[in-house]
Amino acid sequence: MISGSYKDWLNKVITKKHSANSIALSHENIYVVPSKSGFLFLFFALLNFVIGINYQNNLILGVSYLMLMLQISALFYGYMNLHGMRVELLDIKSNFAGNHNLAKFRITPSSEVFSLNIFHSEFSNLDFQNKHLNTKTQNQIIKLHLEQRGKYSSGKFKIQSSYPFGLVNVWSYLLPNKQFYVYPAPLKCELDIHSSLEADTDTGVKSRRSDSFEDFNSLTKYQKGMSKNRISWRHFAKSQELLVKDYEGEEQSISHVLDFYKVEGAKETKLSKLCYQVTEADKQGHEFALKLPNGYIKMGSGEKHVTQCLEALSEC
Amino acid sequence: MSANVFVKQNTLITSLIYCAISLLLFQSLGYVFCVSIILVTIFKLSTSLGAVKHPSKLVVNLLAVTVIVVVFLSLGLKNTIEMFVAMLLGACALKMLQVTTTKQAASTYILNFFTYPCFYLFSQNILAFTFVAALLLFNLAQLFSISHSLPIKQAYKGSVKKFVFSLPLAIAMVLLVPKLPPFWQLPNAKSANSGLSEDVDPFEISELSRSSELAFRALLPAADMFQPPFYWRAIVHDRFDGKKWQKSRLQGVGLQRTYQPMGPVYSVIAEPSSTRWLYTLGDGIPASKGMGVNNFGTIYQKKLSNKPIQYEVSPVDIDDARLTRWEYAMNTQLPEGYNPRAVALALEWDQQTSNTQEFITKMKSFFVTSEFNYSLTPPAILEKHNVDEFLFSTQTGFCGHFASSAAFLMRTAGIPTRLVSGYLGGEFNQQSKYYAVYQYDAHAWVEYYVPQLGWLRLDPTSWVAPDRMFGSLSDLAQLQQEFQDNLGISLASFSNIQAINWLRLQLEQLDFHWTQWVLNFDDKKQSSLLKALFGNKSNYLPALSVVLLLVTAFGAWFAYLNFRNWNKQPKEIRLYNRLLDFGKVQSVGLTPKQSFELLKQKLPDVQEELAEFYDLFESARYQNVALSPAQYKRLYYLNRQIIKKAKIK
Repeated sequence: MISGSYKDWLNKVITKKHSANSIALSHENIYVVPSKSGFLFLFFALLNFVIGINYQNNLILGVSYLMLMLQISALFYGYMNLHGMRVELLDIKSNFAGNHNLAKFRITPSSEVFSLNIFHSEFSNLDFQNKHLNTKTQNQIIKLHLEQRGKYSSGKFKIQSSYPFGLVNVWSYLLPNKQFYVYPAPLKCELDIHSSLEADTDTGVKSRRSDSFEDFNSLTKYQKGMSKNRISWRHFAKSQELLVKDYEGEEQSISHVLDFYKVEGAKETKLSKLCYQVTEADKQGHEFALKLPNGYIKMGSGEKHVTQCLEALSEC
Repeated sequence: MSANVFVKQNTLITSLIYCAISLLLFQSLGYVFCVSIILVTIFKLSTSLGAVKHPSKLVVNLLAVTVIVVVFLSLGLKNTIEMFVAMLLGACALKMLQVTTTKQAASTYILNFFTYPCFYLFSQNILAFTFVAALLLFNLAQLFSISHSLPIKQAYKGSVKKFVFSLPLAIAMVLLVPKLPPFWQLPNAKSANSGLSEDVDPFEISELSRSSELAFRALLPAADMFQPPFYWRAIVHDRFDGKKWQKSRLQGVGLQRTYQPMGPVYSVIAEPSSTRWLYTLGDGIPASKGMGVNNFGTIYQKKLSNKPIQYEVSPVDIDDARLTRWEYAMNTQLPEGYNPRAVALALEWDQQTSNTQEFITKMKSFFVTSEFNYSLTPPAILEKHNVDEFLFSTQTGFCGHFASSAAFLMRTAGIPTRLVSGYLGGEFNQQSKYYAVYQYDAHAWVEYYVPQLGWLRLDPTSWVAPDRMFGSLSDLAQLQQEFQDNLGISLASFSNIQAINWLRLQLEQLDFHWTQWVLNFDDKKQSSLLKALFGNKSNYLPALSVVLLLVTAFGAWFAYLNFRNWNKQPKEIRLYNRLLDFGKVQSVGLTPKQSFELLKQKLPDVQEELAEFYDLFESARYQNVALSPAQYKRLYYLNRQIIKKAKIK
């Protein structure tokens, strides 16, 4: 009970102190204790002390004191190693399950930093171990390996180092408020377009299959948010100008509803298939709506729309 | 991947180090163990070269069992410390075969901080100290290399600094932390040093093996009683079996006579020896702990030590004027049927003389007129009547021959006589005012009893080689060549070359100070040092001073590190932080612009100054253009202005 409430209290303190997207490590937020190796080291120092006393051997006694001093100074060296470093979480990229979510950190050390590790309270195996950083500001990308689709918050990062000699454990926390998604892994399937006609009645949009996607009316300048799949790369190659193909009216482009209930398979399979369909439809430049048990996303297209659909699929 | 390379490199080097340590301790650990360590090292070498596959766990365990059996059989249970160290070294060497991960390697390197200093259990001279200190430093570098995946050279640089920082503090602790008495009795390592033998058997030896090893050093106060010749008594031999003179049964029995003090205390620093018997000038009583004194007035250690020990002796005069009947019998005892010619001669002299002194004069004239020779390489005498053979045919020998035959003659005449072995002479060190006595100064002479007077010394060797009494054996001109041939190769054997002799004396002196001030820095010396440092109030002050010293050392260092960091920051950031501190603004997670907005809210009177300050700050920080001196001046001015104005408010 007591230890439980103590832990809660500790967690509260840490959350209060370290909730930020960036942290400048200073005496207020660096924690220093001897590591397991450090305690082993101290144990051998004690053993040397006992032997030195019992044999009245000043040299062994000296070694024992030397070890004690090394351990104490290691605490200071370890503290100074991380002191003054600034760590900022810039962003965590959403990605499909099975791929990596990339967390982008900006690290500004005040002096050379040895053996920096970054851990996470929930995501294990962060590929950021034993890094030596020089004094330049640098962007570090850490891959997060996540298998489970869903919406994640960035959680608690532990910035740690065992410098010097692995005798100490020096660490701090970073609790950013970023969120990111792990989308269902796309599963290849037929793009289910026939369903669209019936399901489309409520939106009043008629869709018809076009034989050739090259039948576009005009080219307009690319603007942010437009689907990249509609960029006319042919023009780009010729004129270095990003132009977007405008399909003629709604009759010519195909718009349809991707329906959770019309896809075959178990729930996860359905979501994976829908995920594939969303990306595929976006590639082909269709407009589409997404119908899920927990909501309906209106007909649309473009990067934002796709992201919205993928996020909905992750959360479903 | 690269971490593995460092593990491989380092473990190979460490294997070689274990091998070197074992070979250096060869005399204590035995050749069987050393051979097995060499084999393990070769195994390790071939695995790292890729010639042999990495051994499986089973193989390593089997090897471990083998090493344990080898150690057990070759060293036995009697040599506890040797066995312990051999097991430790063996286990470490085998571990090196198995280590693959960084974690395993790191824990071995931490263990090495215990393994390497074990060397000091066997040897503590300056060479051993330097060797182990270098090993520890290197081990620290290896730990650094392993735990941070850095090449050894770079790791070495990083760890030297930390080592050097800790070293003076550790030395200060050795000096200041109160010395505790030992809590337990632990078995000592056997010393490999030579010493006096407990039985004197000169006749069978054809060549006296002399070594230039140090036996002990003596610090004698300036007093009339300390004049050469210096006869350092160690062992009394009062039993003769026809062949050898055996150690007295009373050698280790405590003193039971009254005594009177004679003069000032002197001190002796004895090198480790294979026996417990220490050295005394005449009779003496120990003034140090752990020592005993026997009826002969010679001092002995209660427990054999394997490091140099320093002891104080107060010279005394033991009241031995009377001899009990059994003592008389003991000291005139001789085996029947040996040396008929010597017996006849002694009885003849006995007839002709009326007292002991006259008998001795007769004996002296016999030795002098017969032209006996002093030699370090006399012919061996294997006959049963060895004294006869020496006195009447070979007539060549060293101290043992003369003392032994003189004692035989005197005992035959009924004079209580005993043989004493010890050292004669000493080399005086002008700079540090001590006498160094070497193994080659070993000597044997005779003591005889005169009623009412007690025991008196008689050195028959001096009749034949009178020079031997003064100075060291090394000073004897006529024996120079013979003496040096006997020494073998050592610095002492080249002492006729001046430069080498100078070097030898310097090293000798360094070793003296090392032994006296480092190895024998005990509670006595500590308290006198502390008295010199703190005066007489040294009850709790020393202990307090250690804590104070450590706190100030670490505090000052920490302050310095912080200052250095602070100093490294650009001026504008320092000023900016000062403003934030002043305005009590938490800047964590805020951009400077946001922080300034907060500041402006908190300090509404200095809005303009803050705005100007921010402009300058921004241009310095984000436009990569250094500010001009004038602009810096302005920045400082604004900073002062803001704080001043806000304070007035």
